[in-house]
Amino acid sequence: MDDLGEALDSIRTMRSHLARSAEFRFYGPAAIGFTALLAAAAAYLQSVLVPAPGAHLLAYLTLWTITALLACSTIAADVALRARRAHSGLADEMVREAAGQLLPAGAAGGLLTAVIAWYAPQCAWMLPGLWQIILALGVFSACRTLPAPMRLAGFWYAATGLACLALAQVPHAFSPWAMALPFGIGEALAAIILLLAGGAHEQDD
Amino acid sequence: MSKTTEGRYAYEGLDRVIHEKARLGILTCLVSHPKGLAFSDLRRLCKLTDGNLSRHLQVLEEAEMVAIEKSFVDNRPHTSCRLTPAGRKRYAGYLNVLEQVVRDAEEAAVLLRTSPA
Repeated sequence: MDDLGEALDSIRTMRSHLARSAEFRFYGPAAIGFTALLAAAAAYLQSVLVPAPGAHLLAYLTLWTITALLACSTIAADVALRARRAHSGLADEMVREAAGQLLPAGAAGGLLTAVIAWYAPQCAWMLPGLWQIILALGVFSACRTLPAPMRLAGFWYAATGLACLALAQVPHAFSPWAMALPFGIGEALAAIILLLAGGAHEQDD
Repeated sequence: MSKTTEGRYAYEGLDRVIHEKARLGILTCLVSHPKGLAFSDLRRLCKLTDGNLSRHLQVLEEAEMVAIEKSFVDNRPHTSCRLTPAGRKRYAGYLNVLEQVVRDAEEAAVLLRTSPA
């Protein structure tokens, strides 16, 4: 690599340090709050369309996978829009860093679901609890660049995930409440934290 | 922006306060430690003497880019330094201009290599 290439590389490293240490302000409370409503709507749909999820595991997984994809797409679109509006040279770098923090949890959740559904469907009752624990890990990993109270959402998902594993036994494990309450309340909590942090930032700025 | 635009190569954003080797090192070090660093750690990481570091920190503090807090820890004086939000913003702007300078130089080098003798 020539001197100029090395210089550009050094600048990229400096920028990446800056992006890693800056608070990520591109998660919108409205989009996160919307995912809480999505969880409630999916729970209602489950009670209507998949009344016996233990016997129709594929339908149950499809419903919640679609819900998760919809929630992720909503949040991703909102982040992209906010990052573009920010007109900051660092925005793209920050979005990449944030995606890098959440992707391992997302990939682990997806692969775990596929492996359990395919090879060990008798263990599928654990999935709601495991999803919540994996989301808790994702939140904790992203917390470094999020408002400090966001850890509360991480603790909430960890607690509800463990409670689901400890208390929910087949057939209760697949109850719509086991998904609607943890995700609905957790996302609403995250939205409120972002809303309050946004107000505090406006005062700082 | 056109290559012939007036001021295309003025690089106004190359902030003189930051554009000094030691101060650039100090700021980059503080960027990597958003909660701040003790004076002694900053001195060790930037390989500066006490006097040099104090002088550069004073410049950065006067420019409101760095906040210096003096306190007592275990009955011993403790000085910690951290980047201010304004410092972070100016540093980010500086990096943008610096990158533009290197890209322009790279482009010029490519042109020089490909143009017939």
